[in-house]
Amino acid sequence: MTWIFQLIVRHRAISSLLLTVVLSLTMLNANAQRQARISRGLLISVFYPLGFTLSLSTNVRNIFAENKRLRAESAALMVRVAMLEQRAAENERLREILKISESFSYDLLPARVIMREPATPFRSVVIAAGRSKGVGLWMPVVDRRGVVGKVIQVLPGISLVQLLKDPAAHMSVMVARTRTPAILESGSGETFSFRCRSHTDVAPGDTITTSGLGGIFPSGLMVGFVRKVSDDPDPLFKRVVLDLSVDFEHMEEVFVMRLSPQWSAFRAEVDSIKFDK
Amino acid sequence: MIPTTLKWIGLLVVCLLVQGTIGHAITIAGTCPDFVLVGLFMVAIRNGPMAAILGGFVLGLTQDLYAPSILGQNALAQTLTGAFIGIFNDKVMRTDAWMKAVILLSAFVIHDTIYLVTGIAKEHGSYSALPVELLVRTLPKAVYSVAVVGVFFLWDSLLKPNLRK
Repeated sequence: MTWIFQLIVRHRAISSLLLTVVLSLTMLNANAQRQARISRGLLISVFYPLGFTLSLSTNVRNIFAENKRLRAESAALMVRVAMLEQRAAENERLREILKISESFSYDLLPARVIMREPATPFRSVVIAAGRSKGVGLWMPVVDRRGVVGKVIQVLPGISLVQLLKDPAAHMSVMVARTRTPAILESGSGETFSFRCRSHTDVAPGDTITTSGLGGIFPSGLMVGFVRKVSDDPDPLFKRVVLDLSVDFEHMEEVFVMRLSPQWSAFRAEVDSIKFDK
Repeated sequence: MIPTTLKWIGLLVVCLLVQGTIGHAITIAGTCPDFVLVGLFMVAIRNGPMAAILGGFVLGLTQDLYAPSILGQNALAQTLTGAFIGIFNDKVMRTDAWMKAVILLSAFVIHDTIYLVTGIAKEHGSYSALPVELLVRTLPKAVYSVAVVGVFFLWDSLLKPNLRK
């Protein structure tokens, strides 16, 4: 046995030639089915690991490329998602605005808040609607939650709105449940209250609306809710502290109610009076 | 340092890839150079019959795997051609460039003869077409391949040393 091995090693070139020729002839003489089986076996056992390794390296390269592409896509999608979220929020706001617009029988002009008074607390805002859109002086301004203020200056494209929180803005309000009228006051622009008779029936949680007595705001517009009722220095009165329903800090869209003040009819007459020199 | 065996295996793989990719792109009048046989020639002439036989068998078998119906035909042709070229390897005798060209031309003829004979024998065809086939297909292919190898040879032996200087 050993001598055969030694012979093969000594004449390894010829042995290799014989072996490979025999193998080749065997494969050549095999029928088609057997040839297919042999080639399949060879492909799987010899070339598949090679191909697998090659495909693995290709896959790794593809993963890097895909990773790069996905990162770019992710960034683009993030921007898009942010935009869509903003649009969704705007859509929601506009839907609510539309709801309030349908519930009101007044002529409402939507306007975007474009500027706030640069002071803390701010007392007025500028809206993107002016004379060209039919906005007039003293027109009430509301949003979906309630009264915001009134127009105090009108320019062709923009208007200045005095907010309820301005201490100078006194508005006639009433307790919706008892129809008790009062004048809304604001000391600092952060707390809001009104005085009423000590025997008046008012309790925390009561809704406060406009009374319609000032001539500017129609009656029944939402103003806020009673937070607490406290004693006044004058024993004949008591002080009602309330929370306004409007969130002035996050106000983006408002409505101008295209109403002329109730006293505008008299104004012409007042203006026509001629004083003697 | 890459081991010599790996270097030669790499060369054969490159030859197979080149044949499969740009081989057909440089076809002239239906004739394209056979880079696989050129690769086998280079391995055989440097390493002797043993490497040539094994290299030729694996190369041929790889080519056969593309078309399983002729399994063994390329393997046999490449093996015997490798054995033939291996006889004239550099370890045994020093041959000049012209001699190498003649050996390569002969290798082409031997290869194609074996390939065609086995093919005809398997299909029980006629051998009368064999000389024509060798003349019309093998000879132009061999000349083209030798010319391509000659360009590389000229670059390697004449131009590169001059550039180094």
